[in-house]
Amino acid sequence: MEQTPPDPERPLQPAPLEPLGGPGAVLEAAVREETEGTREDSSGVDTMTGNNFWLKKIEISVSEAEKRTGRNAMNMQETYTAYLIETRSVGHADGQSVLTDSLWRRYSEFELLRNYLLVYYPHIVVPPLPEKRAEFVWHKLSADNMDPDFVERRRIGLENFLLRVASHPVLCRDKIFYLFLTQEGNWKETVNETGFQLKADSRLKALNATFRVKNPDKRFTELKHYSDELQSVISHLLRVRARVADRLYGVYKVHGNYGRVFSEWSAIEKEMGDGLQSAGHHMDVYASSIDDILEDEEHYADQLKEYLFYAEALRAVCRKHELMQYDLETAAQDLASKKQQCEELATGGMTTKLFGQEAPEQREARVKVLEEQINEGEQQLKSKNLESREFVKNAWADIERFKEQKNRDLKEALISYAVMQISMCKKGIQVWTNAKECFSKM
Amino acid sequence: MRDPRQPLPEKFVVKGVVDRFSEEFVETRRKALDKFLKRITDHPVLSFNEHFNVFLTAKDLNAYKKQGMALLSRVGESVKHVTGGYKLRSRPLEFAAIGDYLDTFALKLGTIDRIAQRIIKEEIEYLVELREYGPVYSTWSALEGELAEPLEGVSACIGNCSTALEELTDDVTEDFLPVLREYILYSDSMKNVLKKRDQVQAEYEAKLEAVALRKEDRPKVPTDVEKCQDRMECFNADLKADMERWQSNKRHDFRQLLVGLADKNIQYYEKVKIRPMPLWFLVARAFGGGAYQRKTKEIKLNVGGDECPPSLPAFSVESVVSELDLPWILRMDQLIKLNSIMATRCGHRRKA
Repeated sequence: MEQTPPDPERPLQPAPLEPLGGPGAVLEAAVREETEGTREDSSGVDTMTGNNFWLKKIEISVSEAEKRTGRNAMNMQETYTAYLIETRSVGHADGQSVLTDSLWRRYSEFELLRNYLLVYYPHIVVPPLPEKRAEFVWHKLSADNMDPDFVERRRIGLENFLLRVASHPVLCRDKIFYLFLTQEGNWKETVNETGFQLKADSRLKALNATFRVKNPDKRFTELKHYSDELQSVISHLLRVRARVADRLYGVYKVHGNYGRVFSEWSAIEKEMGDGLQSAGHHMDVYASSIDDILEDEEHYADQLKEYLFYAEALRAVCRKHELMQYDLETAAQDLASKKQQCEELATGGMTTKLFGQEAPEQREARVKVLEEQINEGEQQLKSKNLESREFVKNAWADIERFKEQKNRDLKEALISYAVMQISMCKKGIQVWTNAKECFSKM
Repeated sequence: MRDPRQPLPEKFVVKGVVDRFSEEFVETRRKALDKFLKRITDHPVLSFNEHFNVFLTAKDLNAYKKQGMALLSRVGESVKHVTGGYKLRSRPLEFAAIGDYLDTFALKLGTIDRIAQRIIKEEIEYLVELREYGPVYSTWSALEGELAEPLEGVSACIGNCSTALEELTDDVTEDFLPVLREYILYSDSMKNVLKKRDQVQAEYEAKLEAVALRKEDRPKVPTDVEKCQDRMECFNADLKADMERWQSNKRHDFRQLLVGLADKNIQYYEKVKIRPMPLWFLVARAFGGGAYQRKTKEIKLNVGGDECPPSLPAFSVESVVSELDLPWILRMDQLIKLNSIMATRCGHRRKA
């Protein structure tokens, strides 16, 4: 598996299309780098360093979304949204960033990129894409794919996805990813030429198909269990949050009726009139303040959603491991049975009694074939063992990285959620204090 | 009988099945009856009423009730008279205005009552969801290591929020709605007095008409009519005075009621805000795990202290923030800034 890390200069030029050196080698390089302390992506997700692909820091943004119509493969009219991806190189002497590339991509191309990454980096918890259709929405939000608010949230989500990939120590060095950012035409063809679809393990997609693994790795079993539970708890949380948002919206909006009735009432009052009128105005303000509050909260929900989808990515790694273990065990079993057969033939055991006498030449030939197969099997088992060990090592490294990232992100998300709640309280106090002032002047 | 009679509290406050002997119901009614008596006591005319005094002082009202029956029959008659439908020629403008005012007033209060009830309904539904929402965070926290504490914190905050919300709806149900409804009844009482006035005017006009028919016979207005006119004018004057008094009472009461409503909402938000995310926990983390404690007005930071206080009251964090003149809303970067400020301060203190 040991390969030389790619030459830092070379990949900037049009390079061979295969992923560089294969995932294992790239990870090796990344690990080495980490120990040398040259990794800089922990300082922020929007900058990235890769001394393989990029010698300079690069900024990535999805800066625009645009509705387009075109013809699909069936030559049917279709409407879709395209997103503008801009990359800038930073770190120039004057501190200015320079636009290096800008191109349009649609959601399906992002999907293709992610599918490719999933196949080529089975040991990595690949960052998830934002939802295809709005889920866990409360009544006011539209589930329409073309809804401007939804498109905007998705734009942020897609940008986040690119930044996540770009800040990943391994994924950021991927050639296809680089081309995704820089080569508008022919990108799809390029991806398909990698033949990743052939490499895809169809068994991974077979939902719930459990392979009876005799000696499962306890760590992965636990992790799988965790990702299942994480997924269920976050989806429950999101569902309830949507209902909470609905109700809160109701509470605030009904206060708007006070605004109207206070204003109507003020018309028949003399001394109280002014106070009622302006208190009514504050009630209107109160009712409309909920729109902004819930819009901010939607961002929090999106952060949680990302981790809901991450749970799936985590599970994919676990499943991949399970499959490898399964293959390994099958190979070992196969080998063991062949060895037994061979032994039986050699000692002239049961088989001779059952199938009658055999010519010694025949028997010898069979023993020879079996021995060859055993030899082959042993080689195979050895390499599978090695592969599996490599996988576990790499996967676990990435899982540790993921856990750290998750703790950091979610803690920040919770803090910002708390801050949102505090600011909502402050707004509420402000409005009611204003109203109180009006009332007390009546 | 000329004054607007004070309304009695509703016999049944809430439609539907309410236990008349439940503690809450009795308490609400006690408050309302108390208010009813106070209104009468404050009233310039009613407070001197003989029957009222008997009501307050006599231990046994049974003997008195018989007289009351006679009174009731009088009421019945007068009401019959009014509904008998004597058409008034014209209600004087100012009284017509009062009538219109009372109609609109009662209408608006009715709307406010409905809105308040609707809000309570929405709040209760919100509460139901919150009660499910909080525990989900607890469930999640059981899965996590490092995140367990903040998640548990959010769960506790949501629990805190539900308690505060429950208090708010209870307060509004007990203090706001009954007063509002009492005022709707109060405006009805006022309308009845207006009707009574109309009746007196009608009586006078009828008599005047009768006299006009016999005008040729008797040139002088009979004393009977004069008496009637007198009565009407007194009634009008009294009513006007009483309306003014009623208006100022109403103004005072509503000021109090609405300020109270605002206060309750402010209190609710204060309660929710006071224990947001266990901020102390976040601050503690930003301080690098060093323990800190509140000492009079100064904050002492034990750098290197390996013990974090199990829980710190929210005010200590607030005082850190206010002392350093930082906004209450802390972002992570501000916390880090706070940390460095605290560190230099501690350094100074140690030197001193």
